[in-house]
Order: sequence, then C-alpha cells, then structure tokens
Amino acid sequence: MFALKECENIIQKALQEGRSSLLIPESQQICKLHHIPTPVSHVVQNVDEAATKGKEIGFPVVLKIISPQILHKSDVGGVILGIADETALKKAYPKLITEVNTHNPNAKVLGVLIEKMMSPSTEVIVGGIRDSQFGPSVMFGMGGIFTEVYKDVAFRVAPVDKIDALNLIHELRGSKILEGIRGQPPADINALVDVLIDVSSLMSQHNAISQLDLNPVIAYPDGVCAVDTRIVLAKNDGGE
Amino acid sequence: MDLEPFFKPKTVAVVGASRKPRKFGHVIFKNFVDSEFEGAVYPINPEAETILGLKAYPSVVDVPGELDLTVIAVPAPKVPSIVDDCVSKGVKAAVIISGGFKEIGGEGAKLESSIKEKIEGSSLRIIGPNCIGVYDPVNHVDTLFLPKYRLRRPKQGPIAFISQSGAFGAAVLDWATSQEIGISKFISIGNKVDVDEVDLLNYLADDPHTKCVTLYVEGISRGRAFLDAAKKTLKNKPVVVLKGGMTKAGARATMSHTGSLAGSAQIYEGAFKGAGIIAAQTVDELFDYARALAYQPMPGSQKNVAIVTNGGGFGVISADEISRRGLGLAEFSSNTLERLRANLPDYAIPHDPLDLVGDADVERYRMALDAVSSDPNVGIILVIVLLQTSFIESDVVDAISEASLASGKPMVVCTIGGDFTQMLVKMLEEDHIPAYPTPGRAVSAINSLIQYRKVQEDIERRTQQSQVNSP
Repeated sequence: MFALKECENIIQKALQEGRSSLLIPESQQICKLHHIPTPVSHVVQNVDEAATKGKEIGFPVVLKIISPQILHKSDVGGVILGIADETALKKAYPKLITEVNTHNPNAKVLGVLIEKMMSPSTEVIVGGIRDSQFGPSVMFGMGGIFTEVYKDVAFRVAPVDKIDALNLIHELRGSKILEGIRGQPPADINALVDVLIDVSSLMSQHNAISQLDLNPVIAYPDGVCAVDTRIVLAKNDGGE
Repeated sequence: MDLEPFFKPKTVAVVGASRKPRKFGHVIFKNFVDSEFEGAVYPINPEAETILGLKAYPSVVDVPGELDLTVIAVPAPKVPSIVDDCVSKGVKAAVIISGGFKEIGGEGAKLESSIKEKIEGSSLRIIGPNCIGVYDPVNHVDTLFLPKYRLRRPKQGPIAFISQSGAFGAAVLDWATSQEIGISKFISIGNKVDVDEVDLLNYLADDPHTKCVTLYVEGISRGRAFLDAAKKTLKNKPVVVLKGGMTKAGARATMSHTGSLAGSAQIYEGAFKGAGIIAAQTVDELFDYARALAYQPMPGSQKNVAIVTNGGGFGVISADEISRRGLGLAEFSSNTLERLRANLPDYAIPHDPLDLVGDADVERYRMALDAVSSDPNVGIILVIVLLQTSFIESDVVDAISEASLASGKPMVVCTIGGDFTQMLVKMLEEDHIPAYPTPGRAVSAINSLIQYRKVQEDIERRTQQSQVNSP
C-alpha cells in the first residue's frame, strides 16, 4: 500500500506541474515500486558526482538527460551508451549537455541519470495502454525489426494473469526466439510473465497513466531488465 | 435483469398493426396470428375495429390483463408516447422496430434519448429502435417485418445469432434457411437504447436451447462488461464474434511506442483472445465455426487430425492447411495400420492423410472411419468425400453420422460439387455434421474447435489454481 501511495505522489506531482509525461527517474521509480527490474541508477548534477556514482555502479555506464521538455531523448542526443571508464565518462558528460543544448536550447535540464549499461541479449517490448473501449491493457512484442517492420505485437486487457501472459507471449510469431535458437539459451519466460503481470496491475492501479513503454526489456536466461521506461499521463492524451 | 418476456411472452401487442398488408405492423401481427404462437396477441390501432378478425385496441393501456411484449412499428415521432403507455401499463418488454432515431442524428437522436429517460426506473426493457427485432422458433416469437416468402425463417437449431445490423441479420437468416441451418434465437439489436449485446450474452449463457452464440457487432458499448459476459458464457458454450469496422485505423495520440501500435483492431483482437472469444474474420467464418462448435463434441487432450479422403489432391491440400495452422496430423497406431492394411486395396497407402482412392465405396469409408476414429492417436476426423464418382451413394451420410456418434470425436466433412453434393450437404447438416466446400474452410472450422478446447483448458487450469490457492 505504501508503494502505491508513493507512485501516486510522483504522478500527482507531475500533473500539478502541468507535465504530460514522467521524468525518467520518476518512471523508473514507479517501475521499481511495481517490482519491474530496471538498471541500477542515480541522478547526478555535475561531472564529479557522475564520476563518483560511475565507480560505485561499475562501468560500463549510460548517461540519460533529465528534462521535462524532452520525451524522445535519443532524438536530441540526450543518451550516451557504453561509457567504458571514468575518462570516457568525463568526456561524455559535457558532450551530453552540449548536444542537448544545441538541439533543444529551450529544454530545462534537471540533471543527468547515470545507470548501469546492461549487457545485450534478446530484446522485447512491453507496453501499457488505457483503451477507451476496454480500459487498461497490456502489450507484448518482440523488439527491433519484429516490432518496427512486422508489427509483431499482441495485446491483452487487464487484469492479466499467468495463463494470459503465457498465451500472449506464445501468440507472437517471433516468440520462438525466446525459446532459444541457434544455440542460444532460452530467455527467462517466468520473469517476462512477471513483468506483464506487473504492468497489468500498474496500469489498473494508476488511472492517470495513459501509456507506458518498457522498450526495450532485455530478456536474459536468468531475469529481465527494463532498460528504458516511458510513462505518459492522461492529461494531454488526445486519443482518449 | 429478465429478458424472458422478449422470448417467452404469454401476451403480445403489436402497435401499428394495420389492415394494409404491406405495412410492417401488419406483417408482424400476421406472423403471430399465423404461427403456432400459443399466447394471446392484440392489434393496437386507434382507427380499426378489427384486424385479421381480432378486436383492435386504441392503445396498449386498453388491452385487458397483463402485457408481456409490445412490438412497436409506427413512425418515430409517435414512439415516445407509446413508450409512456407501455410504462403505465406495466409492459415488461418492447421491441421498437421503427427507424428514424439516433442513426439519423438531430431530432432522431433527441427522440431516442427521450425514450431512454422514460424507461429509467421502470421495469420496461427495450430492444431497438431501428431493428428487426426477435425471432425465436422455440416459442414462435417472430417480430420480423419481412414477409416469409422474402425472408424464410430457419428451423430451430442450436445456434443463437445476435446482429447489430438488421439487414445483415435478415440476409443471414434467409441464407441459413436455405442451408438447413437451425437457429435457437435471433436478435437484431439496432440502436441499443436499452438491451445490448452484454445483456443478451448474459441471457443466452443460460439458454438451454443455445449451444453456440454468434454475434455480428460494429461497436461494443460496454467493453469490459462485454468481456465479463463472454467469459461467463464461455464456461458453458462458445462465443463467435464477427466484428465489423476492424480495419479503421485507431485515432490515438502517439506519445508512446505502445500508443502507435495500439490500433482499435489490435486491442479488440487481444481483448477477444483474452476472454476466449473466437473471432471470425468473414461472414463465412462466423457460421463455419458456429456450426462445428454447436454440432460437434469438443476434442479431448488428443488434438491430432486424421484425414480420410477419396481424392488424393484434397487430402494433400488439407494436410497443408493443417500444418499451416500449426495443427498436427495423426500417427496411426499399429492396430489401425493392421486393420487398414487388411481391408484396403493394395494400392492404398495406410497413413495420414488416408487416401481411400477413387474407387472407394461407402463400405470402405465405413471401415476406414471406424478404424481411424477409434484410434487413440486421432483426436479429430476430417472426412473428405468427393461425390462425383459413381462408387459412392448417398448412404455415405449414414456412414459418417454413425462413425461420428460412435466415436464421440469431432468430425467435419469437406465436399464440393453440384446438386447431388448439395443434397448430401443438407442431409449431413440435418445430422449435425458440418460440411465445408474447401479444405481451408474445413480446417479453419477444426481450428475453431481446438481454440475453444484450449479456452476450456485455461478455464480448468484457473479453477484448479484457485482451488489450490484457497485452502
């Protein structure tokens, strides 16, 4: 119950500030409170702080800009991946700030998120949407070109239970990849099932959330990690 | 909420019953008078003394005794005052046939909302307006205003059919009659001022005459309630839905990736699948699936399909269709193989698809169907019988029906051809063996059986889990 209240506080604060989406640390926090695994991360305000946290987290790390004016971070150079060590970090940090200022001079930068760079594995996408007809719904898709080109995604209306989640996963044409092909170990299906169930309850419990992206979720043989999270609030959602 | 008075009324009034044979009110009134309907029926017409020899009443309030059902077929502006009369009379159910309401917007929409207000808090339930109403062959309720020589009425059968569109519903009923397909109830819901698909699903869930519910809908007014009603119904019987307007792109803000991928068709598809509803993509599929689901037993845990055919080509195409849908062919047991080898000519190879070859007669079918359907490795039987050869007589229908009954396993037929074939298709239909003109449609129908079986398995698993979780 406490976690639920904390999530609602984050959402209400954003709505009061007139925002239509959450900042990345906020959406990460809501995911964490709903038991969705996200990378270890910290909010930092300057390069020295970044260096300290970088050592604490362990390299490689990722930097992400935090700004209410920027929803699509990578479009404005607001994400730097694969920072291998402290030297690289000290170069990357000012570069990130400069890039964002160049692309979007009006964006107010509230800080930088430094997080653990997760190792690559099979990528999937998990989404949440509030449908005008059926209410809170969950999406699952295979990542990359499966989503972009083949639109290999499927939906379920919340609440989603374990049986629903398994059916949803197996409904995708690309789900064979998760079972392990070309000598790769199978992905942790149970952990994916948990994420789908968690997103279902997250969407059901927070009416102000209209859309949610966990894109990608990296699926490992043991566990999963939602490396990017986006939460859109109902306020400016013209479709609903 | 009780919808029984729509389907089992003891007393019916027809408002707008007219002496002019072309008037809707006249046709509807005549339907009741001419049929085996056992209750009392009253014509309501302030300008007539009698209609078809029965005393006419100026208003429903003048009818002596209780009124269960009132059918209203007068111009839209007159309808609200008749609804008032129905409420004060204590009428339980009304079907408003008249059009000219929400569908025309403006004044019509105002008339419709006035009706909605009038029935609030009353016990009157309304189907329509802008619909063709109810057809129930069990209780001989027939509010269809289309004369019987134009729209033939199907016989009683196990399939209920709900249609949002009246014209589509009428055409399907006429076609169903020509195919010997039986209907348990038909309801055209029109503008749904009161009774909608949710209410009807809830009602049909418990209807003993209905084994499968089919729906044609364009918009579902109460999404989540609909899914709940479908889930409730699916515990007892399958629900097949043809949803019109699926390809319309969703108008949704796309601030997220998920939002851009979530067209209304995708969400509907997911919602239906999650609830266990079987989605039909075409009119053919709606009744192809419904006939298999309503007529045939469910497969057990064994779901592999055995194909028995007298045409090699159709057998091969069917096998392709089966693998294309991710279904399995059967591996015949040694007993079956032995029996087939002993009884088939040397040039017939005993494996699935089982080609009985072109000179197969009814006896060969009888033997093969018996052997194959009693094989534990066979879950479902697809019988292909091409009737163009002179070796096969019409008693092949008996051979198939008997094998179907004896095995208790689902059996569907694929056959295509002219008048002789069509005659046998109808005989099969009467025996509740669904027949399809192409391997693709036959295998899709088989797939719908497997889909519903999986839905049942999910329901069973959930029940077991909840029993484990609550000590």
